[in-house]
Amino acid sequence: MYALANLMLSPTGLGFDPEGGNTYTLNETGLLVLKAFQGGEPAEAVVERLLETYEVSREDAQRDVSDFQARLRSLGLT
Amino acid sequence: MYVGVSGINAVDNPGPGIAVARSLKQDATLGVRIVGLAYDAMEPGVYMDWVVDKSFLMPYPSGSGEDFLDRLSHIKTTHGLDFVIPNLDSELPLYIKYAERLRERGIDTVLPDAQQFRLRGKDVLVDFAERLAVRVPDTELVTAHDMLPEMIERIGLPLMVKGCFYKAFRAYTQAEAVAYTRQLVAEWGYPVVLQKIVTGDELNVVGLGDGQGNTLGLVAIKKAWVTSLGKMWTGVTVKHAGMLAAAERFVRLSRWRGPFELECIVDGEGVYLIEINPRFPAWVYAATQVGLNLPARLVRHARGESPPTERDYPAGKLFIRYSYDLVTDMTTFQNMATQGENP
Repeated sequence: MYALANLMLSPTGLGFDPEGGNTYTLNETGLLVLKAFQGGEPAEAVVERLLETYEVSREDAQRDVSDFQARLRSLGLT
Repeated sequence: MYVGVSGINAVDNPGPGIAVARSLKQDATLGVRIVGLAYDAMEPGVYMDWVVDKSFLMPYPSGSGEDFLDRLSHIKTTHGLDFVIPNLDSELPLYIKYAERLRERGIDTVLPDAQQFRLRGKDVLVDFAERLAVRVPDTELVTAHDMLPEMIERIGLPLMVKGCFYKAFRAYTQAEAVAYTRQLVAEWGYPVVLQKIVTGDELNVVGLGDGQGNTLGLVAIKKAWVTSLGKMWTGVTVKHAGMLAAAERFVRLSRWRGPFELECIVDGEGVYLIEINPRFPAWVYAATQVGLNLPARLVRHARGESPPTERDYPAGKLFIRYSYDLVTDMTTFQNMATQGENP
């Protein structure tokens, strides 16, 4: 969580890890989800955010959030 | 105050001198004049009169130490020279050896002593790295030719073949490993270091030790773009906690005196220490531009002043090296070539 909490995000969707120097690009949805996780929101709340913001099914939103979490883990950010 | 700066060869494999000189000039209250100490009349720093105030040609450090000392004394007498920041590996042994004699002639340096200097030897790095709580790639020390085949097999190909202090080659075959070993032995003698190649992000740290176990500043950088000569061309400042902590331990345990650079490779397993350089690196201007002017702090420390204590710096600042052209008169070159100093 340290790495995720310290990830620097630009409004345009570039993420920078100040410890390792790696950069990541996020689309609009990814930026929304990442900011929510940085804010400490649990996955269920993030799903609700997606449902409020986009026309997407609950199933799709849940899968996307779950996939995103897996990606964060694979990158060592959580 | 006249500060001698070597390594003003701002070429495709740049010496640290111009970065050091720019940093010193940037501190408006430091009150220094830069004396370029060049080994070739064509070193670009000789012609960069907005950075280097005056330049002199030096004898090669591989020659007589007496010639070297006499030349520095001549510069002091005829122009002025109070302090020297040597920035090239090849001259450091001479400056360290003659530090006291230079001081007697009124030319000061802030450098590690001989024992500290020895710590950077790749033959002792393995033991020292353990004390620093960092890793070192699997390493074998070759002290005789007949040890090679077994050691090459133990490390595995490809591997790095390194001199204890200088030069490193990547060997892909046993024949290459043997050839590089012979080359290093011919030039520097034994031992030669065989080392496993580790992959990861190349992160380096520049720092300054006060000789009492305290750091006067640390800045870390990640190499983003590397030239074919292996030199960083772009980078980004980072704050890798593990690597910065290792640098602090390095200074504390060794009571390092003067500038240094730790070259590391970082992967998911932690920090690998690859090399300790006992001088400023060519990218030290990045540290200056993020708020830690380490060359200026070195000069203040040498003068007995309290250097700035600010230790924090921003991560995510891009370091971008570029090449630039200068067209000037032949006069400077003529003077350097015939008189050993520019007009």
